[in-house]
Amino acid sequence: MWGLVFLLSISFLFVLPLIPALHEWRRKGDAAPLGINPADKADTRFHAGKFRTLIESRESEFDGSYGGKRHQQSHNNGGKFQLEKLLRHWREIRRLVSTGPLKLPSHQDLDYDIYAKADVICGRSSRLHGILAEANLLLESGCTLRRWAHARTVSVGNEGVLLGTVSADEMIFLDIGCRFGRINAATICFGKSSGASSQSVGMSVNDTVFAPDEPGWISELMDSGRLLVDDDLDFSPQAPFHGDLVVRGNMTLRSGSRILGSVKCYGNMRIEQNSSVMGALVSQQSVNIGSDCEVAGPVVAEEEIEIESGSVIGSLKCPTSVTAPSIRVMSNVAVHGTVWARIEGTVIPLPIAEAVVEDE
Amino acid sequence: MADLPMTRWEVAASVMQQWLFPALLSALFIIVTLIALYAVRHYVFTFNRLFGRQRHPYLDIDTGHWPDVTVLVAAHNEEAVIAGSLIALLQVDYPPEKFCIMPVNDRSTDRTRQVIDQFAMLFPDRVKPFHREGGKPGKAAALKDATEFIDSEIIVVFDADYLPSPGLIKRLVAPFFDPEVGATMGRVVPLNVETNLLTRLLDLERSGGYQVDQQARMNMGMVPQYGGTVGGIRMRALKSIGGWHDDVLAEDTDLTYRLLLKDWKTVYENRAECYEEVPENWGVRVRQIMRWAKGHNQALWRHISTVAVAQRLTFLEKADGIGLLFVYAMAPLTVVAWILAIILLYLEGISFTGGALSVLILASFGALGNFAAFFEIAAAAYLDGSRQRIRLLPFNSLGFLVGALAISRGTLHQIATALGGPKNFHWDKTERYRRQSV
Repeated sequence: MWGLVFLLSISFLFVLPLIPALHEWRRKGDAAPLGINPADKADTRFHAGKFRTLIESRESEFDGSYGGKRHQQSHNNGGKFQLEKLLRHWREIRRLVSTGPLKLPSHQDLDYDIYAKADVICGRSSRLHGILAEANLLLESGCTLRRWAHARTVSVGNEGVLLGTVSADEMIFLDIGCRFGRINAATICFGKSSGASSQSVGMSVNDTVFAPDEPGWISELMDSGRLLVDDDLDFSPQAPFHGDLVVRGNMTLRSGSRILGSVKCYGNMRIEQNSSVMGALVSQQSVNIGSDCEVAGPVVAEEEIEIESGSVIGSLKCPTSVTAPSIRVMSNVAVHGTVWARIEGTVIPLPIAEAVVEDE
Repeated sequence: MADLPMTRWEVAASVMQQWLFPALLSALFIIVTLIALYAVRHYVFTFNRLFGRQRHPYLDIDTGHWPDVTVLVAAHNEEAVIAGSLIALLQVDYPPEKFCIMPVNDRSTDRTRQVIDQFAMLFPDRVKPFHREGGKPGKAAALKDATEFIDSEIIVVFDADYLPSPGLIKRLVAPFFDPEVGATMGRVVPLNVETNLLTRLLDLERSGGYQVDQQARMNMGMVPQYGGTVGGIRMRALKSIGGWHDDVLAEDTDLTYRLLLKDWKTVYENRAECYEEVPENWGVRVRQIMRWAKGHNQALWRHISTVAVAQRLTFLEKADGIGLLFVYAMAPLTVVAWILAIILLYLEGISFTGGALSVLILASFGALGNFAAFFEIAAAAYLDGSRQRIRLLPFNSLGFLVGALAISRGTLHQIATALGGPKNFHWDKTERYRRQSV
């Protein structure tokens, strides 16, 4: 008798965890394949395109008035429209559509998306949600963008905060003190207007070949077009270096160096002024790019990237990516392509001495 | 009283007591220690994924001067599925002038060739087929022959039943901007999940293997494994290691280690996801896992000594590299542990409180295998945002049991072959299930 009870108890204990398993097996409550997102949701153009399609599909609903319709239309005639009344309506319908230029006053807090077929100007210290301007977008100083923005050109005044992603067909300009996440444009200028816009052609990842006239110690270490270094490296090539560099320590590339290849570094990487790298820069820690440098390929760091004034990353012909958790960009820097700071990007002013010289 | 001479049974019992029992117990203890080490390994990976720093350094590279890429689609009698794969590849987001698809038709006897040629006719600039009529069997041999005709910087390899998403190629290629990267590996996601219990269990296993194992290796700078499909290879790296080896059963594992030993890193991209079909019946699954076991054991035999003494590998790379090589050897060892445990349980039936208790503990651990693997699967399902499918976890012990026996059988067959059996190279092709019109 007790043996049977024991056997039943053990069987019950064994079967117990199988009850929910059997239930799930028969019911198939969670049996769909894992979802794979086919579209790149980080690309603002993706959101902008969807938003534009939505607006265009309902264009017939806009009649020029601002009352009674689900979507509102505004004609900005020299700023003489009844903004307060409009804002109340827009807040209700959660979308603002303008067929002309749109100028919003300062200190607005809008929690809905804006569409304009022309320019959009947002007054200072406003808080905005999403914006699609078919022409130019200006966020005056102190504005905060919560979600996304896309325009032909985007200008953000000082101390602006871009919490969402921003893209432009032509140019993005971020003034000093701006903070950003992901921005993408043919040209991105930071701080003071940068005249730097390199036309240099980026190299492909495998275009580089070993040059036989390198010093002997280099050729001894070269392997498959790469120079592998196990320790720290302080590199100051007298002639352009043809090949890739892989350094398993910290690395400094001395001023005026020219690398016709990519550079990988396990530690901190410092590229001194007037240097140029025709491939990518990759670091498992930080990358510091000195003033007036040129980098053609992507710049990737797992901790921080700092770019000093006068430097140019990518080119109009070959846009590229700059990505790290934290990115600090000094005034007068140009990047062609994407800058993606996972935690925070900041536009920092020039050091005082340098700024004085520039002003003179 | 004079001592009486011992009988044969008494002598045998004495020998067993003095030598056989300690020897068997020691063997069991060693195996259980190895199982425990693998348990620790699983826990380290899982805790890293749950609480550690996650590394996705190349994920945000979405703009760049993309290199030329050739996508190789390995196909041996794949008329049912290859069209779907080619259609998906023709829709990927990659500069078209830098992108070429090369279906590798390896001695197919069905309509695979005709399907491929139709695509080549429709897209002559993008689809450049490679038809192979003879030569050595096996994927590695086919890839080796096809690679001779490639002049791009990067190759990406898919099996014919895979359905790449539009953004996949860029995600697999982006890490190659890093000059240290020799290969990349994406994540394989089962598509036919809801077919039956086996497909659901394989879905959970795959999730654990990629979402936890591979990504944890990536996080900790260990040895993410190039998996043979949904992966990219830098041609310069491939040339530097002597190209494909066509005499291996697991060209992926072989390649991972040869790249590692020549200072080329393999990068795992968890967001480079691609759908695949998993086996829908146990027979196919058993043959698949036997083939993997043989290939992996072959790689173990070839690379273990080199990895063990390699100077340029870090401690973690070396430890993980060795652990990965032995991973398929653990299943037969576990089966041996079960047998030893049963034998010892009967031999040491005298004192329950002494040695028998330790034997019982060892037997329980050996018999139930490695619970950490289940923890890993549960963590992976959690990270994937799945909820109810975790309930199937107890059934994974069934998959574990079948896997252990299949691997043991494959290993025994391999040993028998090495000791004088027939050495003909045999390739077990995995059955396809998709019913797609060609």
